[in-house]
Amino acid sequence: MSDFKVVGKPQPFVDARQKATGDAVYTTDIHLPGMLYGKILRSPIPHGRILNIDTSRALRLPGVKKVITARDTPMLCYGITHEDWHLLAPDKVRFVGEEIAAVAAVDLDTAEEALDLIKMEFEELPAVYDPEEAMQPGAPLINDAPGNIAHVFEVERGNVEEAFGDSYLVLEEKYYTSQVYQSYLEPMAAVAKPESDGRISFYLPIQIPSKCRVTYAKALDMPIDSLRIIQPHIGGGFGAKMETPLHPIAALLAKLTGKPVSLANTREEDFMGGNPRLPMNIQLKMGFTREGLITAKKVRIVAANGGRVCYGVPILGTACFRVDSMYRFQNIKAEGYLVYTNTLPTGCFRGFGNSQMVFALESMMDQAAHQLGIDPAEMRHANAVHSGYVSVHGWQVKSAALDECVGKATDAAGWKKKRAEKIFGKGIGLACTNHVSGYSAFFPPFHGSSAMLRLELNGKVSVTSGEVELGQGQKTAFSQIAAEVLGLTVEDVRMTPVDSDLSTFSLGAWASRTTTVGGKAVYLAAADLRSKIMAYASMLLEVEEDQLFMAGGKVIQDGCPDKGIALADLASRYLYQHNGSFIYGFGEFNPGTQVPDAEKYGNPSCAYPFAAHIAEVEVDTETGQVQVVSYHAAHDLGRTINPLGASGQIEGGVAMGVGWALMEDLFYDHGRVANAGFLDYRVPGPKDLPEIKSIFVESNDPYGPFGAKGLGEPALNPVAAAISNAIYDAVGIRLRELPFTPEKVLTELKKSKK
Amino acid sequence: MKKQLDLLVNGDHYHLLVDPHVTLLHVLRNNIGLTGTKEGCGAGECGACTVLADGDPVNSCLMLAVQAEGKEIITIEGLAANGQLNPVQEAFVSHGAIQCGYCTPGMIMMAKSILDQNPDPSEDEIRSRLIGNLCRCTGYEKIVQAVRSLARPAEGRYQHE
Amino acid sequence: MRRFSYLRPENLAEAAAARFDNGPGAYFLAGGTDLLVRNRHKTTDLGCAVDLGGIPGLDGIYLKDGQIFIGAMTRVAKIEKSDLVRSHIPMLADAAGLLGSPQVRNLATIGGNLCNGSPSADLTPPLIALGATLSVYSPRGGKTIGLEEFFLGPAQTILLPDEILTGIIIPLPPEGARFAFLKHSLKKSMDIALVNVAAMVSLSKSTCTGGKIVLGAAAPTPLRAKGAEAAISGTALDEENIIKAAEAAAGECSPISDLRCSAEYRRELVRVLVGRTLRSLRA
Repeated sequence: MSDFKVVGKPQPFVDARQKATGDAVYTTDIHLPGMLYGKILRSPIPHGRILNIDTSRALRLPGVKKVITARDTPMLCYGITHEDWHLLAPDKVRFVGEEIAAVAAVDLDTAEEALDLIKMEFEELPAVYDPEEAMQPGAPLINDAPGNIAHVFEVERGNVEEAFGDSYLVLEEKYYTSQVYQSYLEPMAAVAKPESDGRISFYLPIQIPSKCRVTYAKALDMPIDSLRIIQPHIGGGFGAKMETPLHPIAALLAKLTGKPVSLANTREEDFMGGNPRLPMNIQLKMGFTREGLITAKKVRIVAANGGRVCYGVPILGTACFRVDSMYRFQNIKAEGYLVYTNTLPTGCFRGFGNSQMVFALESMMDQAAHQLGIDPAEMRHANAVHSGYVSVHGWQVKSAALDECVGKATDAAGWKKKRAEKIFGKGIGLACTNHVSGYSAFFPPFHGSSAMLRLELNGKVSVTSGEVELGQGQKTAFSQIAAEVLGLTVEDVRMTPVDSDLSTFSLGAWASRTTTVGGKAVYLAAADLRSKIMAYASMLLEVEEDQLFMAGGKVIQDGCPDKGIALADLASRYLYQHNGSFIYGFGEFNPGTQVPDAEKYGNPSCAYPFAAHIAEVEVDTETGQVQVVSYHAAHDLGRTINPLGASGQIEGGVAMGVGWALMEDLFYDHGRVANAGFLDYRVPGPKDLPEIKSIFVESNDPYGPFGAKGLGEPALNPVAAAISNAIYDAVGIRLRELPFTPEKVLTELKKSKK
Repeated sequence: MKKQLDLLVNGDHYHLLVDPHVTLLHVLRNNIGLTGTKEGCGAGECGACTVLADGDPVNSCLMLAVQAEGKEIITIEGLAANGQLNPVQEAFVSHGAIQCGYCTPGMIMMAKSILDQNPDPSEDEIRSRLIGNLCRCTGYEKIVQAVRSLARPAEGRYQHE
Repeated sequence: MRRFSYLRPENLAEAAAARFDNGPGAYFLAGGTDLLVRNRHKTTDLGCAVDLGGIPGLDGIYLKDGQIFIGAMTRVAKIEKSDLVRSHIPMLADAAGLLGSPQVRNLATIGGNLCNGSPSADLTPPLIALGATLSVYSPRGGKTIGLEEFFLGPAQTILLPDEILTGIIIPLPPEGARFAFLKHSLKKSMDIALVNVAAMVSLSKSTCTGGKIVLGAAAPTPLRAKGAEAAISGTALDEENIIKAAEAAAGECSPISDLRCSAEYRRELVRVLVGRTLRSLRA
C-alpha cells in the first residue's frame, strides 16, 4: 500500500462542477462581437474532376459576406505525412465529403441557404472503395501514388518460415476490422478571430493545440507564431480531433472577412467531415509449440486509407508491430499496405491500429488454445512478457504485469468455474492487450513534455502545461501529482487555461500519453518548485534544507511544528523581495525514446501498459442477438493516480469496444455514408451494457509519475476479441469480421449446425 | 415573418422576436444566451438538448420555440440555487459521472426528471429511462450509480446527501 | 435550420383550409418528432407548418360506451402512463413505452405516429390487433375509417391533404382476452423496430378465438398475418400450432432488405417473434 496523500485517492474532476452547471464553455458556445457563421460545401460524389463552381447566386443572397473556393486559398498542398491535403479542392474530389467551397454569413440559416445556392459541375470518374481492388492494375488512380499505395510498412526479424516449419500447430486466418466513427458528442467546430496585427486566434476543440499550428501554418501560408490556439472545453475526441481542414477554412474566412467566424459541423456533416477508424483486412499466420508457446507470426495488412492521408502511416505501422512487445515474439514478419480509396479519410481512433491487430491476435490465441486443449488463460501466462523485457524491435518494457492482470481478471470473473459450465448460449472469453504511453513516431522532433508551476500569492499553485483535457481527467491527475509533491490538496492547485501564447508547447492527447509523459513533466516541475521553495524557506528560517519538509501549505521544521512559514507568506515575501517575480518551477521530461530507425528498430515509448479483459455473453440462438452480461477489466496501469478517473476510462473504453464489436459500422452507398446519424449508426446505450468491473494492477513503472502508465486506449483494445472468444465459448462459432451483427451470428450458427 | 414570443425559462420571462422555424434549443442558446443546453445531433437522437417543459423532459431540438410559449421551461442553468448545486448535480460530480461534459446538461435534466417521477428507481428503471441520452465517454456506469445514490425508498423527495 | 412559415389554427376547419391553401409544402405539425427530422434530412420539403396544437379537444383519453377514445394529439407518454389504457388495453401502453425515448414520447403524438405512415411504427400493430377505428375530420364531412384501411404504402395514408385525423377509437377487448406486443431492434436502448408483432386472442376452454396477429416492419404497410391467425384459430394454442402459425406468418410477409438487415433475416425474425408472442399468450 502506498502512503500517498492525494495520488491514488478517488478525486472528483476539478472541472466537473462547471460542466454540471452548464457554465463550461465549448467552442460553439462562444459568441464574439460581429461574429459570422461559416459552413463548408462538401463533395457529393466520391471521385471526379471539378469542371465549374458557380457561386454567383450564393454571393447575392442577403447576409452572405464571403464565398470562397480553392482560388481564394494559398493554393498549396499540405498534410501530415503526405502533402495530399488542400484547404478547398482545386481540381478534383476524391471522396464524398471533401471540402469544395465555404461560406460566411450573418447567421447560420443564411449560411446553410447559401450552400444550397452554389452550383457545382463535375466530370464523374470511376470510383474504387475496396483497398484490394484499388491496388489492382487498371484501378482508378486517386492521387499520384502508383497502385494507389500511399505507404508500405515492412519489418522482419528472425526466420518465420523456418519457425513455422518447426511448429506443432500453424494457424492461418483472415480478419476484418470495420470502419467506425468516434461519435464524440460535440461535433467538430472552430471559432477563428482575426486580430488587428494580422494574427489569428482560434478557439478549437483539438487534441493537439500546439502541434496543429505546424500544420495550419503551412496550410494558411502564415508564420507559426501568427496562429494562437486557445482551448475551450472539448466534448470528447477519442482520436478524431486532430488536424482537419475545417479549422484553417474558418481562419481563412475570418481573415478575408475581417470578422470572427464560427464554423461547426452538424452531426450529419460530421459523419462526412470526420476521420473514422482505418479499416483493415488482416491476414494472420502464427505457429505454436505443443505447449502453446508462440513460435512465429506473419501478418499482411491491407488498409483502406480513404481519399487523403491523415495518420494512416503510423496507424498501419502500429498494427503491424506494436503487439510484438506483448508476448515473447522472436520470429516475425509484417507487411502492411495503406491504400487510397474513394472513402472518408481515416484518422486516429482510440487504439490506433493496435486495437485492430489485437482483435486478430487475441482471436487466434484463443483458437490456438482450444485446438491445443490448453486453457486460454494459461496460454497467456506462458507467452506474456515480464518486466525488463526488450522486444525484437528494441522496445524496452521496464514494467509489465500482464501475467498478474490475467490472474486477477480470471479470479474476479470466476473463469475456471464458468468455463466448466458449458451452457449452450452462455459463454466467457478472455483477451489481452498491450499499448504504449506516448509514441515517438507520431511527432519525430521530440517525444516528451514540459510544464511550469507558479507559487501564487495565496500559497496555492498554478500549473501551466499545453497538454489537453478531453474529459479523461487529465487536469485532475496533474493537480493530484502537483499536490502530492508539494504537500498540498487538489483544491490548492489551479490548472491554467491552455493557450499557445502562454502554455508550453505540448504534443497533446494521443497514444495514452498525457498522464505518463505530461504528468511526469508536471511532477518534475513540481519538484523543481519544491526545491526552490525549500531553498528560500531555508534562507528565511535560517534552518538547513534537510531539516525542513512541506505539508499542509507550509514549510515546517522537522520536530518543531511551530517553526515554519506558510506558503502564502513565503510567496509574498519573495515577490516583494524580487520586484514582482514569482517562484516558478520548470520541468522538462525527456522519455529517452527513439524514433525507430530504417530497420524499424528503437524504443518508441518510455512505458508500456497491459490489460486482460474477460467478457461474458448470452447469445439468443434464434435471433443471433448477443448481449454482454458481465465484464471484468484488469489493467496494469503502473500506478492509479485517480481511481475514479481510471475506472471511468475503463468503463468508457469497454463501452466503445462493445459498440465496435456488436453494433457500429459505417455503411457506404456509392461512396456516401448511408447511416450518417445516431438512428442508424448505433452506439451503445445504457441498456446495451453490463456493469463493468475495473481491477487495477500497479507495476510501478520507473518512468511514469509515481509509476503511472497509459490507460485510455488499452481500455478498448481487447474488447472485440474478448466478446468474440466468449461467443465461441457460448455457441462454438468463430467470428472474424466486425461487427458481430445478429444476422451474421445467426448465419454462422445455422452453418455450424449442418 | 418573425413572431413575438413570451418564454418563461428558469423562472425568468423573456420577450423575443423569432423566426417561427427556429427550435427552442436555438432560442435558448442564441437569443437568450443560455448555452448550457447542447446540440449533439439536432434530430432527437442523442438527448444532449434535454430540457424540462412543464416538468417533462423533451428534446429541445424538436420543439419549435413558438411551441414553448406558455410552458415553464427549466434548463441546466436553472438547477443550482444561490451557488449551491442541486443534489443531482452534486451526485454527478462526486461519483465521477462527468468526463467531457457535453452530454452532462441533458443527462442531468433527465436524471432529475427520473427522480421527480419516482424517488426510488431501480437500476433497471434508471437505465431504461436514460435510453434517450447518449454518452460516449463514461459507458453510463457512474451515471447510473450517481442517480441510484439519490434513490430514497418511500419518500416524497430525494435529499442532499 | 431550413426556413418555413408557421400557422396555428384555432379549429379544424381553419386547419384544413390552411393546409389546402398553402400548397404542397404545407404539412400538419403535431409533436414534430417525425416532421422536423424529415425536414432536416430534406426528405420532406416543409414550406408551411400547420400546428394542430392550438385546436382544443384533440387531446385526451376517456372511456365511453364500451370504447376507449384517444385524441389524435395525445402525447405517447400520456398513453404509456394512462391508468385507463394500462388496465383495459395494456398492450398499447407497452408499445407506447417502447417508442423512441422518454423525451421523444413527451413530444410525439399517437396521431403523428399513425399519419407518418411508417410500416415500423410501434403503435400501429397493437391498434390494429385491438380493432381500432379512426375518426377523421374532412371539409366534406367527418368519417370513420378502419385502421386496416388507413395505410396505402410506406409513408402513405388514405388521408387527403385537407383531412385531419382527430381520434382513435378502440373497442374494449372481450372479457378474458389476452394480448402481447414484442418489438425487436438491433440495440436494446432507443432504436427502431426491425420487426414488431402484436397479438390478441381470446382463449376459453382451451379454444382460441378472435385471434389477431399483426406484423410491423415486415411489409410495405402493417400486416394482418391472416395465415398465422388461421393456424391458431380453434386450437388450444399449443406448441405445434404456434409453430405452424409462426411459419405461416413468415411466409405471408414481404420484408425488405435495408441497411439494418436483409429481407431473409427479417423473415426469420417474424417467424421467431410470432412464435414468442404467441407463447407468451399461453401463460
